[in-house]
Amino acid sequence: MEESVANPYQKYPVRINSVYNETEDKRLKTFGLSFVNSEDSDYFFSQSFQPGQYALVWIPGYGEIPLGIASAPTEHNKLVFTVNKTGKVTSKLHTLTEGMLIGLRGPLGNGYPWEKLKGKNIFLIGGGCAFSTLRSSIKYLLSPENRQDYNDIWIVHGARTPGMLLYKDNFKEWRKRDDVKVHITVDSTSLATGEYHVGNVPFVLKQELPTVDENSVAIVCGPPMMIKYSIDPLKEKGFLPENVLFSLENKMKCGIGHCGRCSIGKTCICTEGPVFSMAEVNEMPDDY
Amino acid sequence: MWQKSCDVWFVTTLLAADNMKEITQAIREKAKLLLEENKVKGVLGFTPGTLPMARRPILATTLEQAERLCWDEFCLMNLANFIPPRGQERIAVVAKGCDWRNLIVHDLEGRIDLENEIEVLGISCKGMLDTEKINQSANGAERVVGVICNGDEVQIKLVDGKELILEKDRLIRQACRECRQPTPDSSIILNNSINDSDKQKSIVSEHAFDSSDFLKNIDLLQSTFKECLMCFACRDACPLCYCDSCFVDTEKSHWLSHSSTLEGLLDFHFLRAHHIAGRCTSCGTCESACPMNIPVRELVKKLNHDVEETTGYIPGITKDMKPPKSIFKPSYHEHKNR
Amino acid sequence: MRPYIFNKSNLSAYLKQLDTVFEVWIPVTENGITTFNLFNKQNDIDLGKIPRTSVKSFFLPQHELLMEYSASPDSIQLDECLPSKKRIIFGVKPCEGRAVKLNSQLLVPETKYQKQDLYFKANQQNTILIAYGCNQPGVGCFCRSTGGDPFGKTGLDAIVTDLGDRLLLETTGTEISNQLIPKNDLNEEATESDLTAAEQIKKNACKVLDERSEIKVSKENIHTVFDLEIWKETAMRCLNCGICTYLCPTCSCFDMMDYFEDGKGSQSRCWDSCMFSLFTQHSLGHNPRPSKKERVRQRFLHKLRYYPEHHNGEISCVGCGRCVLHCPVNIDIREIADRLSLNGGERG
Repeated sequence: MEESVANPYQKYPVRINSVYNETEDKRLKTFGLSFVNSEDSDYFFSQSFQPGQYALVWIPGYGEIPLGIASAPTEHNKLVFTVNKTGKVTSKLHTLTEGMLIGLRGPLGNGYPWEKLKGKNIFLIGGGCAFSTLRSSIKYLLSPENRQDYNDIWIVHGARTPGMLLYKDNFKEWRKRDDVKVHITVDSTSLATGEYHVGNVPFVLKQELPTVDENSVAIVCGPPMMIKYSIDPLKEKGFLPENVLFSLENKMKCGIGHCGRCSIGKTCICTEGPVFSMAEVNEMPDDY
Repeated sequence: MWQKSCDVWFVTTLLAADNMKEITQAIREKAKLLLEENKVKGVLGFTPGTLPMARRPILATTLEQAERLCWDEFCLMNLANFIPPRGQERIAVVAKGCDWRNLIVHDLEGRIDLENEIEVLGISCKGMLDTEKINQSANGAERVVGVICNGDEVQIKLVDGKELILEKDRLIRQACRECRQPTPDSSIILNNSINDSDKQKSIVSEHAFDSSDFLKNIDLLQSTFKECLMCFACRDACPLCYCDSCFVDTEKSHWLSHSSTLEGLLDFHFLRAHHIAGRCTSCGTCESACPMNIPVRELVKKLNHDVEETTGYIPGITKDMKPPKSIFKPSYHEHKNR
Repeated sequence: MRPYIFNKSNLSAYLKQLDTVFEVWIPVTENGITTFNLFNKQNDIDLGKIPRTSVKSFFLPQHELLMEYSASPDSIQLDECLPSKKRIIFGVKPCEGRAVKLNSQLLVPETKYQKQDLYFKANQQNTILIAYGCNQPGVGCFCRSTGGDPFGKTGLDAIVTDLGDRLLLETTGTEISNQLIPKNDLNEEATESDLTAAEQIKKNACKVLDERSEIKVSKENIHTVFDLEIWKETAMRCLNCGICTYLCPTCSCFDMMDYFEDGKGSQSRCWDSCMFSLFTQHSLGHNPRPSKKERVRQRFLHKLRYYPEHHNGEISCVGCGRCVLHCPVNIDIREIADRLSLNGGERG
């Protein structure tokens, strides 16, 4: 008898536990979700869920969207997503409130290569909504069971204004720790508190990062312009192309490599990605 | 090598073009002259393709390419569709009556600057052939190896070595039969104009859509549109469907479901028909492009007829009046109610 | 086991025999267009022509229901809508069997780590293909150039060879093919001379096709291939309509959508095309393939380069010629493949 294969389009029902307005422009909301059925939860976490992966969040009648998972596997049975209001589904999601049910499938994609990163210095650099998978990564790295596996940890987070910075409570916690270096920067501010750098992310990278060797890895997530202008400073600091990791985004529908739209050349972003090193991205044809 | 076999096909197709050798020659000479004198950046015309009846639109920018321009009964696409919007370098366009009519509408609507940016190489057209009819007579498009037009006859060579002789007149495209202006009004006409008496001969066929209550006839709509694939070739081949953002391509507002249910199909065809009503020049490119042989033009024809009756505007022929849809007057409405 | 043979006049008797067990679909010409229709007394089978639309629609329907659900603020109940209807498609072209196999490699991969499309898989299990071999390859045909055969058996359950007055039926040994054996009066085994006649027909067909050269996969650096002049040239006349992708038996890209009314809804998918700008358009406005050039390039490179790189060098084209025959502006994949494989990619 052939083993029955799970339908990849099947979704788990999840309940919205919390909705939090992340930013002053109210375009970014963070949703806390929990599984309705414990077996779904077990299955989700048993699939070796890793920070850097994404899930397809489904609103009945509106469709599915890929969202980077902002919670870590170490935050047991809790799922967090930060959602930027852009299209039809995300706009609808922004109107949903606590207690409502939606659907979810995942975890999908490759995630960051945590096994390979063991023993390395890790630089997490991000801005905007894309910081969500970095939140997941930081939570994972700083958890007691994982912290000793990794060397120095640096966090660089940037936003246009202080009101646009994400995960303020989490950052408060992280700043108190002495085993992680946190740099927060804003493009402009009227309050010079000394709490933040003033300037964009590439500027802070140039100014604050040490020179590194091949034992240091940078994970860069953010708007295309931030990524574009961060590459040079990172190279100058000595990061190798294979040690700079990006999380790519493309339009996705199926999430399982079948529908055809997310590919860049021969590479399918939804299954082979979304995480690629700069060395890999350089190999890709100019189709993104 | 494919290239080799393609060359063989190119030769066959050129033979087919023989009966219009003079026009072909005139196009090439004029094109070369314009390019040599640097009067245009390129000449938009047709060149033979890899199948007996395939003619490709091409923007010839070199003398070598100009030497490969051709003209015959299979230049089906409307070249107005391939003209870049205004503000670009001057180009020349080989235009039969219907291409010309579309240039006029484009000019009236402000998409192109016909006077200053386009050089029209007019051709008085006796009608293009309906390739689908030829394919059907041959029992499949894949069976046609060669087509040669000799006077009133069309000789079709089949893949099994047999030959078919068909009466040319019966193969003329329906849109061409109904053509109201086969000769452009451009200053350059490369062949002898067909005389005015021919012009009047346009025969408008009757279609089930002519009946005023055809919308209630679900069976008719079903049988007409059921094979539609929603490939949007009709829209993409139409020179007048030039919107940057078509209602088909808007995801957020979701005007159209891309599912092929009858409702979805009718939504698309009706919406599109209304967008080009009173603008459509009845060139028939939509029908030539359709892979499923759907009479797309008929739906618009009905609406066009209403516009003409109400406002007196004939798309592509009326030049002294703005398109009615851009200057709607309440009096149009009264006229209709009279 | 020898193939079976019966008179052409008995074809409808054979179809009736199949019709007692399965739903039978046959190629029928209506308004000049040949498509697959349900077999019944009114319609005449039209064998030999290349049906305008391929059998793709039986495996990956243009519009397919994936899930039905009822949803309210406190409950979501999902039901998967897996297809279960057994059917026979009689008179497909042998190349279409190969197309099903190529799509299956993508949608129902056998490696453990990739997800399987259960809908396609169910359709594959429920659909029996009986091909009608190509005695006379058409002008757009090039199956031999893509690794296929006018009498190939890949992906098929049986194949019929037309011997003029009689039909030779060979089953391919798939599980279901026992049920395709002609019964009673029709059950007659072919003689040695029938087989020789069939062999000759096959040889003749192959000879015609072998004059059309093989399509090679270009090994040239992808960045060089990306910059070839041919993309600009082709995009100039490409309408960016969906004809090539929708008629193609191997194009399998799709879109997914939701419908919802009064607490009940469905999730379905429908064909989509890399020719459409919406296909890759991000919701924030950025489009990785913003113009015709990128979209045309994607279609051909996907078939002739990306797919082979993932599937042992097999190209994702079976040479049925539909896109060649029906492109309104004569964009010819043979010509493009040729330009791509010329010493790995020429410039200009």
